[in-house]
Parts: sequence; structure tokens; C-alpha cells
Amino acid sequence: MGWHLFAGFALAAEAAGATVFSARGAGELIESVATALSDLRGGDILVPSSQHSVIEDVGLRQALEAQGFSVIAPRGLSTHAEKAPVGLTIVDGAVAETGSIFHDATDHESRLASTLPPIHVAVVPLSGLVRDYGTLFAGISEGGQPPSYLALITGPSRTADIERVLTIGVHGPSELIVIVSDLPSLTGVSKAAKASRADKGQSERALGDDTSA
Amino acid sequence: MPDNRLRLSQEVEAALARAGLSTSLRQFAASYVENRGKVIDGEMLSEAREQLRSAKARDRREIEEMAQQFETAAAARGAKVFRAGNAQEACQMIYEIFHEHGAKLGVKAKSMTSEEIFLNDYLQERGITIWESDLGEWIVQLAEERPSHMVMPAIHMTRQEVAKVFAQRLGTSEVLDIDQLVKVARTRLRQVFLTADIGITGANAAVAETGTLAIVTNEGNARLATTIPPVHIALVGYDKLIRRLSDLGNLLGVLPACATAQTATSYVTMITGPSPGPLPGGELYIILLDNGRLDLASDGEFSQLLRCIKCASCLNVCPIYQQVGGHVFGHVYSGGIGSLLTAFLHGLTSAAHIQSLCSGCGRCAEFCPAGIDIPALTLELRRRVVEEEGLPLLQGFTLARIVSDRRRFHGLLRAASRLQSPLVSGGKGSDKKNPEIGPDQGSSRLYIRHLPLFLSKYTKGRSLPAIAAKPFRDRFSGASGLPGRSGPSQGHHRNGSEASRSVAFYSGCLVDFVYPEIGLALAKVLGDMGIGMVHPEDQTCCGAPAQYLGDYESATRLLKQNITAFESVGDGSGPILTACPTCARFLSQGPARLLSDDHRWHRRGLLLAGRVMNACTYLADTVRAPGTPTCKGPYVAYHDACHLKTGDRLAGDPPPSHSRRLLQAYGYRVKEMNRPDQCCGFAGSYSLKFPALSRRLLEEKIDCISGAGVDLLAVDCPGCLLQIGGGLDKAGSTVRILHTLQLLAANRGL
Repeated sequence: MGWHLFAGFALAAEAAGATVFSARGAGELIESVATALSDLRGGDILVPSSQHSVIEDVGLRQALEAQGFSVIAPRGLSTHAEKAPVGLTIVDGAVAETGSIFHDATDHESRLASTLPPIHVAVVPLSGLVRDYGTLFAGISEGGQPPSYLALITGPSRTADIERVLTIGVHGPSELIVIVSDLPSLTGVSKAAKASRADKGQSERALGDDTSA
Repeated sequence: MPDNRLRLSQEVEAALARAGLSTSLRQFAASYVENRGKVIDGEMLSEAREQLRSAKARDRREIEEMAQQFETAAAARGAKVFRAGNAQEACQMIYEIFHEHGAKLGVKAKSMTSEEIFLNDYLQERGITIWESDLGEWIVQLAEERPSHMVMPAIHMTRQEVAKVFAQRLGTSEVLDIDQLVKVARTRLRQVFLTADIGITGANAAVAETGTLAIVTNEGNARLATTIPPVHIALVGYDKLIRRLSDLGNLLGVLPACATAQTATSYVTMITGPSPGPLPGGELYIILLDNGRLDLASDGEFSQLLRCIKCASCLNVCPIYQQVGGHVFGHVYSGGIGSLLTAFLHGLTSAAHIQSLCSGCGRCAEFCPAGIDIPALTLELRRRVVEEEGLPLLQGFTLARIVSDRRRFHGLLRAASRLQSPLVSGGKGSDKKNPEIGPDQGSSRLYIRHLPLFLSKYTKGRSLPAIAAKPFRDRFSGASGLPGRSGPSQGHHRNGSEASRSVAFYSGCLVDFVYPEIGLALAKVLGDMGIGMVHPEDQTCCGAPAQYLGDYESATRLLKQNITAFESVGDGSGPILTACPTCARFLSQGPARLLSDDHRWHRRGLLLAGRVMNACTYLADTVRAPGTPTCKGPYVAYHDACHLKTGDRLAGDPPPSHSRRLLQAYGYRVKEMNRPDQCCGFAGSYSLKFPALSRRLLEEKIDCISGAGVDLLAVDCPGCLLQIGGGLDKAGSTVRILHTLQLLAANRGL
């Protein structure tokens, strides 16, 4: 599992306004999330139901609860979901060249958790890092049909519609925190994740290991 | 018709008078070019053009195949796909979907296609509320205006204006800064997202292979509009079809690069069939809209418009858009591309007057990521408008009856030279700072500073040069002191008959009748190199002005006369030099376009086209530095002529630096001014059609020149010389403007 694409990704993602962490092992993942949310004093964290068991297995849920957060699922359109300060999702991968993360968002809960709250924490499996759009779309095409709802996210929600002044956080989150983790259990099962497997050999040949973070 | 023209002219004046509009558009234009350069370079741009060509349909058959493929693929994934032939059908379909679902509230992500069919009006008249959710669109909707830019709909408004609109419509405070205004939008529109029955979007691409829609936003509104409401309607023009999923890679790179100078937008949503949302139900309706697109696809000339990705690059770099904005220069779609699209989507009549605003500078084509030749298509559109509606009476008379009859036209110009004397006032005398540039070289010339009565607007802000007492053709034939020159023979005037080689000179109207000294300077520079020059007397106006007005009949007649005039020079081969880039461009590109119906004329025309060159190109290509370059020569700034810089497909066409290098070789020190390639606003008869607009462009040019701190300005185009020279004279500037050829001659002491 190589980190060779990470440095490029982090540079591009931060240029787009995201905050990026690298996390080796469960310990660093938990620590990164804690650091990223250290300004908050608890509250609800939206996590799609399908991901509750994964975050529990790696110990993240327990750590969040110890920090005063309650993990809830954005079921329906409850006021809880609307008012939650943070959403956390495990996505499928990321594109190094553009600093984008991508996820199969067919599960609407993952869309709500990543769009409604002002802060979105995205956990990216290292195995899902691809070099560019070309590799991503080649991977998806290889897998046959694209998922029903595939999303790319690059930095926070933004607008420049008034006097071209860049303003962050219009309809989506004003803060995007991306944590790239090497935990194998995070690797998605969706079609989008297949792109990373198709890309692996190719990108290692092209870039070598000297760009490791 | 005249009413429309008058109205357009009044709208132009009103837009120019609107404080702040032009300033903010120009600031944007400057930062756009700079920022875009950081994310996309020339190589990437040509790669992107190539890929867009292969991704999109080329003709009607292909577009229909792709639409069929898309429909099948999307339906297989559970989407309901409909085809709408026109705006009315599309509106009705969308209304019926609302009706069927008992829906009363819709939330819309930005869709120019929905603007094109006036969807909001249609639904609101039938009791359905639609809220725009893109901030710019929402502002424009609240203000009851329409978008003035395809990517930034409210770019024409200041923050104070937005705050005022919010205060009036939403009851918020009248003094809100931009952050607060954005927060108001977030809060208010969040409630709309949560309660809307239906989300409406457009799409930036529709993938035929997989039935996938790709929607690009920065705000995240399309994501919410396609997630929370249980029903999603996507309105998609046929032009959005691309072949493969892999084509998205290029599109998602080039679109944000050109639209907003970003490597990626914040959100890309790719939808293939419906996906369940938080509320029960869940339907995806896709309406594929024709509304003129299939006609476009069938049109050999215009089908390239289907490649447009609506990035608005062409607006962002357009000098006219920067002055008047999209409400004047556009219908629903604005700017140059807008007037072309309008012709097909809303009819020729709607486009007829908008296209006349294009000055033909050609900057848009340089920046277009789809490689669409907007300036050439604008000329073609103008031709069709004239074919349909005829030329304005006076212009038609002048072109058909006078200009295309050489003797009559030239006779008239000679008469004008005698009659203008009461209006002419004297030149500036010789240049004290650069005495070596003698009084014959230009700015000592006579100007018409005021015209009486209704003609006065043509000399407001710009003096007009007086018509020369003796045209070039007479001075050249009667000149002494040109090396080895002989008298006229067989209707040709020549210099250097003893020279080992000679070239032909096409003078063009402005050099012949207004600036003969430019032609004489060329003869001297060539003579100095031992090259002879021949000026066939039967040559006449090149025909470009007629083409620019859409009068192809006159343009063709003039072109044929020039073909004949130059065939009899020497053995009918060898370079034909011009000192006017517009003439050069027309003579080299016109034959392929205008004579293709007539095999013999076409062949003769292409021979002419192959011989034509800009004089400075020829000199730079042919001749090594004639003098010793000096670093102590006079400073000179250089203004790039639009027709020399862009779209000029002459063989050996110079990059912008060509004349600069030549000037340096002749001992000048070139000092760059700001925006040297910004159009001066002359553009032939354009400065007469839209004098106020032309004047504004000129004022900006004069500011750039004044800021350069030079005494001399070189230009390669007599049109620019006329415009800028007149502006400098009116402004009382001490900067002297000369044609590059005059400067070359002067520094060689010729």
C-alpha cells in the first residue's frame, strides 16, 4: 500500500480549501478526527447507518463519544439531521491531480451527511487514491455500469456570485476535512472503489516511490 | 427594423453610462485571463479541443444516434426519458410532471437551458412556485431581472444593489456585507430545499454510453436539489450529449479551468437512473430538448456550435461584453457565442441586431476550449441576416454602387479631399524629441477635429484624419528619389526596376487615400534592401468592409477585380505585400470562402491568397537585421492589431512579437504598455455604427498608451492608426503614432 500519491493529493486538496491529514493505523485516524474537531464541544455527528459498524470496529465511534459527540444516522429529514454540526463519511477514494474525493453516493444518507452540516469529515482509504480523472473513469468503465449517484467533492462549498468575491459555505459545508487512512477495512465495496485497484500498478510505475509523504 | 437598431444603440449608450458596470467587468476580465493561465496552458487547450471534438456529435445523424443510445441506457437504469421538440413542449412536459405528482414547489439548480425556454414564467403562470438555488440566479430572480452571464448570472450587480434587493424582497437589513448576504441565501434556500416537491436541474454533460448525467456546481445546490426532493427533473439540450464516460475526464478538467479558472469545481454529481432519497417516491425524469439544435446539427457551417460547453470564456475576454455586459450584448445566451446560439434557438430576427455588436477582433476564438470559430460564424450569420433582411439603405447604396466601382469610388475620394478643407486643422509639426523622424512621417498630418451637426458624434473623442491631398497611387508614380524608379508602364507603378527582385504592393483604401506615406515608407525600406516594388493601378478596396456588413455580393465583385489586377503583375506569382492586416486577412481567406461556387475563380483566388503577406512579416522573414541593433535608440510601444494577432492563418504569420523584433533590429527599444492586444475600437465601420462604444474602447487604449511612458507608438494597421491617432490628437497627447514601416524607414534615414 503506497503513499506515493498522497503528497500530490494533499497539495491539490489544500489549494482547493480542504484540510488534509494522513493517518497510519487506527490510532492516528482517531487522533486526526479528534484534532480536526477539537474546537467543537460535542453535538450530533451524522454518519450513514451503513458505516456505523465500520467506525465502531476501528474504535472511532467510541473515541467520538468520549469527546462528547453522539453518532446519529441522517434518517429521513429529522430536525436532528438538519441541525447536526458535523457529518462524517467514509468515501471510496480520491483523485491526486485535482485534490478531489469521490464516493458512490447512491445511499442518500451519505449524501445528507456530507452536504447538510457545516463541517464534513471525509475518511479516504489510501487504497482508493488514484492519479487523475482519466484513471478514475477508466476504472469505473471497467467495472461496467457506473453507480446511480457518483459524486466528486473538491474543497468546501463556495460561490463568487456577488462581485466575484470568493465566499465559502453556501449550500454545502464551509469546512472539508479529509483524512487519508491506510486501514484496509475502510476500502469501499462500491464500484467506484474498483477504480483504485485498476490504477494501482499503473501509477506506481509512472511515479515511483520517491513522492511518498 | 430601424426601430430595433435604434433601440440597440440606445441600450449601448445606457449600459456605457451605468457606473461601475464596465469597471467591474473589466477587472474581472483582467483577473480571468491571469488566473486561467495558471490552470490551463496552450498545449492543454489544444488537447482539450481535440478531445471535445471526439466526444461530441458532428452532425445530425450522430446526434440522433447518441440521443437514442442515451435514452436506452438511461431508461434501462430506471429513468423516464422524454424528447421535447421546442420550448413550449418542454415547458408543458415539466408542468405535467408537476401536476401528476401534485407538486406546487420546485427548487432549481442553475440551468441556462431552462432560461432558454422561459420555464419559470410558464410554471408560475400555472400556480407553481419555482425558486432558483444558485446564488447568482436567485439574486437575479429576486431582482426580477435575467442573467447577464452564463456562469455568473449577477455579475452586473454590486453588493449594495444585492443588499437592496434582499431588503426589498426578504426584509433583511439594507447594509449587509457579502458574507452576510451569502448566509441569508443559505438559510432561506435551505428551507426551500427541505420543503420542495421537485428538484429541477440542467446537466453539463449527458453520457450516451451509460445514460449518465453530470452536473457541475461550486455551491452544492445541485447536490441538494437532486437529493432531498423525491422527484428530479433534468432538462438537457441535445448539445450536452457526449459519447463515453471516459470523455468526462476531459470535460470536468476543461470546463472549470475555462469557466472559473479552477482545476475542479467543488461538486460534480453524476447521476445514472434514480436513487432513493430520504422521502418516499423517487423518480428521475430526463427531458432531451431540441429547440433548434437539430437544425444546428444539420448546418454545415454552424454545427460546430454543438461543441460549446457554456464556459463563457468568449464573454470573459470580449472587449464589447466588458463595456456593455450581457443584457445588451445578448438575448438569453450572451456575447458572441450567444448571438450565434440565439439565431438557432430563438430565431434569426432575435439575433440580427445582437450580432452587429461584434467588432470582429477575434479574441474569443483564441480562448474557446471547443475551438469554435466565433468570429467567422458571426460573419456568416451577418451574411444570412443581410440575405434575409437586406442592408440598411445607405450602406447598401454606398457599397453596391460606389465602392465596387473603382473609378467612381476613387474619384469620390479625390473630390472629398478637395471639399474637406474648411474642416481641416493643422498638424503638430515635427517631433522635437525625435528629430530624425521627419515631418512627413505621420503626426504632422492634418485632422478633422469637428464635424457639423448630426455627424459630430463621429469626431467626439477622436479626430478623423483628413483625406490626403494626393493619393499614394499618384505620389508613388510621380515620386523621385526612389531608387531606380521608372514611370508607369502598363498601368503599374513601380520602384526599383533595376533591382534583382521585386514584390507587388496592395495598398488598400486607407494607405492609398489617407496614409500614402506608409506605402512610400515601404517602398523606401524595400529599395534600401535592393528590392523593387510594383503597385498595380487597377487594384481597389479589398472587400473586407463589405463582408463585415454582410454584403457578400459586393465583396465578391471587389475580390475578383483585385485577382485580375494582380495576375498581370510579373508572371502572376511572387509576394503581394500589404500594410493593412485586415486587407491581408481578407485577401488570403476570402477566396476560399466567397469563390467556392465558381471553379475557375476559386483557383485564381487561391493563387492570390497564397501570395498575400503582411509587409512586416515579409521583412522579418526575408531580411536579416539591416542595421546594428542599438540599445540607445528611441523607446517605442507597440499596439497589436486584432487582425494581425488572431485568426490570421497566413503562411508565415507572425506571432505578436514579429514586428517588435523588427523594430528592435532597426534600433528601437520596445517598451510594453498594459494590454497591448486590447482592441482599439476601430473595427472598420463599427466605429461609425457604435461610436460611443468605440470611443470607450479608445479611451482605455489611450490610457494604456499614456501609462507606458513612451514618445512613440508603433502600429501595423492603418485602421488602428486612424483610431488611435485620432484619439491621441483629441486628447492633446504628445505621443506620436506611426506605422511600423514608417519607423523602420525613419531610423534608416530614408
